[in-house]
Amino acid sequence: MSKLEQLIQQVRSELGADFVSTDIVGMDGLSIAGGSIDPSFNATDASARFSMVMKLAEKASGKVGMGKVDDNLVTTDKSYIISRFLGDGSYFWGLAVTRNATLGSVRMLMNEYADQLWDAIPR
Amino acid sequence: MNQLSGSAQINDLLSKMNSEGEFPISVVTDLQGLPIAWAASQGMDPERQSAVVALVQRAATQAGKQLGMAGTDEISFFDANGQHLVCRPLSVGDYQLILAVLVPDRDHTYRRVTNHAVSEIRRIWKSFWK
Amino acid sequence: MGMKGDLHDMAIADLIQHTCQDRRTAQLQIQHAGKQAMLYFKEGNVVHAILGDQEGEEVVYQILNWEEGVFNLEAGVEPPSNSIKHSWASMLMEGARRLDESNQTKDANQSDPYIQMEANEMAKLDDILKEMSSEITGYAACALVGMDGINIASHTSNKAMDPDAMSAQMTMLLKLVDTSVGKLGAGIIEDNLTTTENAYILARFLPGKQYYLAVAANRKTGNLGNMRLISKMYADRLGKAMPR
Repeated sequence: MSKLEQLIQQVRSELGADFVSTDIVGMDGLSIAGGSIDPSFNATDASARFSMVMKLAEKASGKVGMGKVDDNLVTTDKSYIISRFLGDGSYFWGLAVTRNATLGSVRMLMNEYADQLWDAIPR
Repeated sequence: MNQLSGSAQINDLLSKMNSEGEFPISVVTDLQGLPIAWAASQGMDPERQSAVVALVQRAATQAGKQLGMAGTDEISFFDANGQHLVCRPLSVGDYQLILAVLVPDRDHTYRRVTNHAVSEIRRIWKSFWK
Repeated sequence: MGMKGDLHDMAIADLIQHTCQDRRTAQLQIQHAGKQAMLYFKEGNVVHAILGDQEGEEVVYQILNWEEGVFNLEAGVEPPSNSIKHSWASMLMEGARRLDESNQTKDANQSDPYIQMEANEMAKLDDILKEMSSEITGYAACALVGMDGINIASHTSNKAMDPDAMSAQMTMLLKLVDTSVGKLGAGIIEDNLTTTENAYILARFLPGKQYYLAVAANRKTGNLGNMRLISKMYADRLGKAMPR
């Protein structure tokens, strides 16, 4: 198991029953690592779509002078979907958790693991 | 007449409570662990505090249900030095919040000031956002 | 030699025309609703007009609307100044054009109560946004936006921030997020929060999803829980205040 996959496993363990899915995605829209509790979940589609979201968020933020984007959080009736840029912004970390999750602690968790994930990405 | 907004009044209330109780940090957080208001000394992290408080509340609620207890009034946990985190859940209308304070040691009292803060938060909430 | 009369008997436009066509040098004093205007004629033209602090052509355009009052035309009075350059005929034509335009607008408003109602309801939305702005810690700007990206109402505490530009960008992002979430079966979107170097930007749908509330707060002084909570409360209020 690669270091990246180990870290993803740790994240899944920490989130427990709140975990839905996670992916590390390049800005070409391709996932390089991840997993989901739902075997039918289409990670390829999700990665591609949310890379477009992150690109558009960057563009939008630039146009209104808000600076670089750190992350984007979508709240739906079923889940929280957080997409967070890693390192130099060439990858982002997508994480979906249930609405039962304590959002504040999910954000703290992402703060703790973001740098480790970036360091573990093969380059 | 107090011209401050509801949010500003709650922030102000926490600040005064910290001064009176000598608390290094107090937060009002939602159940998602995001801070709604805080007053904190330098070096304190209100976002981390809020996240932890919500986790604690969640665990306590689950434990209470398992034990057949009524809703929690106060949750405290102590470290080896006597510093303790006190969480006071409160309901205002449809919203569930938690007031949490960090009490420096066992010699400091907190119950009276936190009681006052809870009733003030309810009053402010009702007058601004009922 | 002079002439006195009532504006019911002779309109101001007629007075101007006759005095100019007679090539008189004269002073025309008109009293209406407590105000007094003075027009000065020289060699077949209106050359000067005074009303309170105002001088020139605009005085003529204003008084052409006066339908009630009294006038006194005094011949031989030299104009004290020369503030009008246009001919009397062109001024009367322009005056008539302005009057037509003004009557059309008045008729339209009076026959369409929706326009009156809309103005009142828009003012209410502005008030709600202004109230909300005082409740958000680190507040920067907010807007109520249609899904066409156009602001229905907006408010900002920072003149450097452009709510129109923000809304246009956020609408595109929100549409993309909404489509993505829908296609992935991830539920029904409630809100989208973008955290940037400088700001938190939250977009929250109003019921019906035809409009959304956009709020921006300073990254350093803002507070996520406060922002989400206040936005939710005020989005509900805005939803109820929206014109049907």
